[in-house]
Amino acid sequence: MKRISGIFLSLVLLLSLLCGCQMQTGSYLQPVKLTESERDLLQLTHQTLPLVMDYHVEGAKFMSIDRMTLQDGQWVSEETQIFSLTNEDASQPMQGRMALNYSTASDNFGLTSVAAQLGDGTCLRSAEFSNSSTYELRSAAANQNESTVTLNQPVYLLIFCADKPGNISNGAVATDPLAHPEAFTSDDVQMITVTFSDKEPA
Amino acid sequence: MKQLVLLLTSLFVLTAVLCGCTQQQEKNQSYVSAAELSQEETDILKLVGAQEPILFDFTTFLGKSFSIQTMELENGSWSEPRTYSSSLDEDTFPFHGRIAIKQDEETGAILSLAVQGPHGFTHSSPTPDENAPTYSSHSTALLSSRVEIEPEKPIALQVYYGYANGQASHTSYIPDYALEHPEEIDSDYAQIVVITFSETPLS
Repeated sequence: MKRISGIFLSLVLLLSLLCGCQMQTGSYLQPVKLTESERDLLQLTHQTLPLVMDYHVEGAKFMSIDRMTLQDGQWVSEETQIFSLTNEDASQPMQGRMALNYSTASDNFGLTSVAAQLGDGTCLRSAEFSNSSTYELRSAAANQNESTVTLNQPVYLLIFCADKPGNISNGAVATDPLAHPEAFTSDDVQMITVTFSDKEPA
Repeated sequence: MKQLVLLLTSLFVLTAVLCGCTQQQEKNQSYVSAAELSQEETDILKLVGAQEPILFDFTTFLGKSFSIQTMELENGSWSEPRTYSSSLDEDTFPFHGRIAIKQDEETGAILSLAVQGPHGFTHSSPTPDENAPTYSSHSTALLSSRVEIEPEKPIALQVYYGYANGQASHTSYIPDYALEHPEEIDSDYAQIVVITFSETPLS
């Protein structure tokens, strides 16, 4: 009996350790693993599945979501932020869940809204954006990878490519699109990024 | 003592049989109801959507097709319907589906109608009428209880009532009553959404 109890306890300890190893640590941004019912519900209520990500960033005071456009082979950030949040208690990690709605329809191409659920459950939401596009070929790609967050460095969330009919673009997105703007051959390329900063903008 | 044991055993067997019957009946029941979301589903929907849709669930063991129709009130009767249809396949029974409706609160116009059917998700977004009048006062009555599906019998899911002038009080009939008695509706505008399951396959 004692031997069985010993084996059982060891197993429990081993499982606890293994679970602990899989726990996320540090500053990260990762796509939410939706349950089947959550995914079905989102597919029912949204023509394009929103990008939903959890974030946990140590030492961050400010989060901003920005739009960059590709100009002459370089990423150029727009001056106005799309969405921003301030961490009221910077001694605590900035954590929560964000959702980005987007569309590839011609009358509403690009990011259409942003929402963030803070650690205390509060939900903040941007206005609805409306961007029509005259390009006939449009595509979008969402970051589905877990990303390590470095303070003051943008992380890519969404990419929108648009082409005239004559332009042949393979539509592939580089693993690190921020570092490889040359990989894009589309006529119009926009990227949505998130940046966690250790200071608020002036 | 023996008699008591016998009595208790008989009672137990009877209860088990009765429970089995009820469960079997519930198992084979085809119905439509307002959707009951889990806390996780509610949370994710709240996060991603500014306007939460109206959701209905259905489970069916019967029918070869179903159609969702929207009708407007015209001179005391329901107009010719606009219809969305989908086929049903016996192989997928019992089939659990879900319907999501987004509606413009001020005009009553259906912004999108989405169905989780046996062949995946279908979204339809009718082109909005830019000249549609707006209603300063409006209400929506929804299907509140579970309704059993009967072939060819329409089930009213929701009714939108619009009033041009803010009236002190008005009557919002429940959907099934409004479907049967459109002549009693006193709003300036009304639109009803119904679902009908049919034994006739789509042609």
